[in-house]
Amino acid sequence: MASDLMEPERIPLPELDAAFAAIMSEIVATGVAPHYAELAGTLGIAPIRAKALVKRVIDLTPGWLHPGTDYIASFPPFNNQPTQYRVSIDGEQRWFAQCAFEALAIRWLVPGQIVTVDAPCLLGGDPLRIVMRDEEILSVDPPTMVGYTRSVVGGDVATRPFR
Amino acid sequence: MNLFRSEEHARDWEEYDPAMAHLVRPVEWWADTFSAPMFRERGRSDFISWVTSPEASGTFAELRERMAPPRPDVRATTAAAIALSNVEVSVVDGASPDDRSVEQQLFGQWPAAVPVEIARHWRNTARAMIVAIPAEPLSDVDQQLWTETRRSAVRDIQAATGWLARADVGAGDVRLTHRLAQMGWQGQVADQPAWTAMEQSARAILKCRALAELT
Repeated sequence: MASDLMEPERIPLPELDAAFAAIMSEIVATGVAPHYAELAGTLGIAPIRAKALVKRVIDLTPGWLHPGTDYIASFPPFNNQPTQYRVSIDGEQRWFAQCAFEALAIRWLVPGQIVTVDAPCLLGGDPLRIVMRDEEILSVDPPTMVGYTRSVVGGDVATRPFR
Repeated sequence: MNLFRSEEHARDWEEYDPAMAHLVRPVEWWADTFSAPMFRERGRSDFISWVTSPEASGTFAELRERMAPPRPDVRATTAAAIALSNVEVSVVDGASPDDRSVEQQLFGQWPAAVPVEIARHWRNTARAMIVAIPAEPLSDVDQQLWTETRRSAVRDIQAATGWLARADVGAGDVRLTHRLAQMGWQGQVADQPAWTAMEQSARAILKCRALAELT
């Protein structure tokens, strides 16, 4: 058991499933990802185990920890650290998206609810707004709005362990 | 991804990269892109199990395919292949499907800097490319993770290049597979002992060349 605690790659998938679900549930509900010590309480496990779970879950998904810390900075589609992508759900602004891509994916976690993304244009700072609900894009303002990335989807391939 | 007021705004952005011009897209296109299973499934209770499964790897490959730049000509030149792969490759000229000396050329020319037990060979002809992808991971790499990495790399490479391709397996290193994934590749993966795989790879190259010449 002790060695398992220190070897994230040997953690059984059901534990990782539970950790991912708990973190996602918390951030959907509150807009904030839990610290591993808080996650430990939720899952009924030791903090050191929760810390290993967090690290492994982050390794397997496109999120990241704040460098040099154990704090979840990004847990897509959300960002724990504020970004310019402010997300409102049913009119309440409490969330931030990892990027504009991921902002468009938040609706899948809140079925039936209206998701509004407000962000400034990176060039001129003009306000932009997208409103969605489930499969529907309810409005894009201005309608000329585009998305653009100069990065490979999923980030640097060398850091993607299974893709 | 970033949002811009208009296409002109995106193109005027100081970090705009013309090489990625194909990804200036309307919001609706991105919304559709981010409707892929990879994103829809995040609410499931077994997401990590699912996302590390072959099913999820396939959906991610489809996503990357959707976002891939226009494909190169299937008859891409060797120079183009090298530029794409950013990996040392060698060309085997004058091969015929029954020429076993080609296999000796393939194995004999593999760069000495690449440990035999890590990476077997990369080879590129003018019309086809072949690579050996290891069946067994290094001791510190999870077997399931390795398998999925290997398979997705195969899919990715051909998705990006459109080349005829086949991957066989031998001993190797996850770092090699990451380099494969940078290219995009799709083909068949056959789990074979190293030597058998190498032989099959050599033959697969010849088959690819033969097929390319027919098309």
